[in-house]
This record gives sequence, C-alpha cells and structure tokens, in this order.
Amino acid sequence: MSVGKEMKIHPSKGIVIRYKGIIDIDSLYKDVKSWFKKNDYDYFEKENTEKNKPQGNTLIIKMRAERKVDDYVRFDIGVDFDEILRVKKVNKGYSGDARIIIRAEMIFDYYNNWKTIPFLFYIYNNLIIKKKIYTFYFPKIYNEMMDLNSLIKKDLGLIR
Amino acid sequence: MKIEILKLQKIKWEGITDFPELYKYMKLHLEDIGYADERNLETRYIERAKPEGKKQLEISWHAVKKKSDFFVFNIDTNFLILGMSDTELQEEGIKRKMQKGVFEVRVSSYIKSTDKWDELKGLQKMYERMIMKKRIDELIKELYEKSTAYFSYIKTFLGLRD
Repeated sequence: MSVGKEMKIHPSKGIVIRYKGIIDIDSLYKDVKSWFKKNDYDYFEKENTEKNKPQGNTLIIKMRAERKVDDYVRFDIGVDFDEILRVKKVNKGYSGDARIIIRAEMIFDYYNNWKTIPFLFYIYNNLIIKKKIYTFYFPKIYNEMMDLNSLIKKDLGLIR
Repeated sequence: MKIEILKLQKIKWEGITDFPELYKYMKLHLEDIGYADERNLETRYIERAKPEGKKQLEISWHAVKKKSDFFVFNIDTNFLILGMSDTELQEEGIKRKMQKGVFEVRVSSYIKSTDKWDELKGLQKMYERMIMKKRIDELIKELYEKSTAYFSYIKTFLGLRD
C-alpha cells in the first residue's frame, strides 16, 4: 500500500465507545484535555454545543489536537463526544447516553514543501522513509491513540 | 500568505442567556486585547423579524491587529442566532430580562501577510524568509493563545465546559 499525504491510524469509522449510565463529563473532558497537553499536542475545539432540553441536555464536543513530530510529520488526533443525550445532573456527575469516537492520523509534508513536485514526494514517502513511517511514526501514534482510548474507558469505568 | 490557526470553530448553546451582555463582553474582550475598537469591528448586522415575536440575528466581526510591517493578526467572529425571544428569569429574587434561542458563534483566526511582504523580491525575500521562519512560529503561537483564550471566554460566559 502506497503512502500518500495522510495515513489514517483508526479503523474506518474511528474507535467507537458507546456507554449508557453515569458519566462524569466534567472530569472526562478535563482528563482528555490534560492528556493532549501532557503529550505536547496543540489543542483546539472544532465544536462545543449544548442544547437545553426538558428530557436532559444534549452535548456535542469535537476536540482536535495536533503535534508536529518533526518538520515533515504531524500527528492529528480527534475525540468526538458525538452526541451525549439526555444528560441530567445526578449525585455522582451526570447520567446520559454517550457515543465517543476517537480518530488519529498522520499528515506528511504538512508545510506543503513538496506540493509542486508530487513525484518526488511519492518517492520520498514510499522509498526513502517508508520504513521509518512503519517502524517509528506508526507505532508511536498508534500507542498514543490506544493510550487515549484506555484513559476514556477508565474514566467511564469500562473494561480495558 | 495566509496561515490559518482556528477554522470556523463552533460554539452552540440552545437555551437561555443574556445575549446583549454576551455581545458586549465579547466586544470588550477584543478591545482589551487590542484587536478592535468601536468603529472598525462590525462588518455585518442583520436582524430579521420572525413569527411570534422571535428574531433571527446574523452578525459578523472582523478584528485585526498589526503585528509588524509584514504580518497582521485576524480574528473573525460570526454569530447566528435563531428563534431569539425575550424571557424573564428570577435570579436571587430579582427579575432579569434574558434571551431564549439557539445561539451559535463561530470563531476563525489567521495570520495574513501584508503587501510589503508579498512584494519582497529575490535575495531579500530569501533572506527575510530564512530569518523570519522562527518569528512566524512565534506569531502562530501567539495568535493561537489569543484566539483560544477568546474561544474559552465565550464558552465560559455561556456556561459551557472549558
């Protein structure tokens, strides 16, 4: 398989975690943000939505983070609190139905220095640094993605 | 040259808030950090009357700060308020007029080069680009911090997680 401009690390639909029950959304949100900070990612939020509804609030939070590993490779990780439904305050946090999706990918040549010479870009990715991509970058981002997955599951009290 | 930092990041709140207060505080925040003044911020303000006394608002702001002869910081804010109506809320025994509706705010930030930068030629351009590379990284960091702080400020006002 040839290496292009980006390489997805997650399964095609991302790592999906579904959970129904008591969720401490505040601490989960803080823990994910801290994880990004601890791992030197630049963090930003693509979306932060809260809808106030009689049956409980609906939350959508799309967290994004990127880290420039070197001048050529950047790691992008996204965590979507993709609709947490029927959020109601209870004793230990909130109750609700959550669907959380984790995605990770590598971006090559993020400064677009090779944009004008795609042939050389192809050669560089697929011959010169291909081994490094699979033995160095890939395991690194894969482990980080799984580490984040563990953290979220731990916060939700799920089996890891 | 345009370097994008935040790309149409969205904050959405469906419920009750004090919208005039939010509007005022956001404006003051941009003024405080030196990105805007009373006259040059708002580029669009559309208010449409809807049935049942509701309103739809579309507001755009373009805030700028000149960083050097070569670069300008930009923060764009777009409001889209749907189905807004006045409502009264009792807060600590005091009646307070608030607004109910769907409040959406989108924030973008980017660094733009000036004509002076774009007009550099030959060796001078190469030299400037080489010595400016580190400086550009610092500018990116600075605008990232300013614009994410502004984004957090809006979230905190609306009572969203930050």
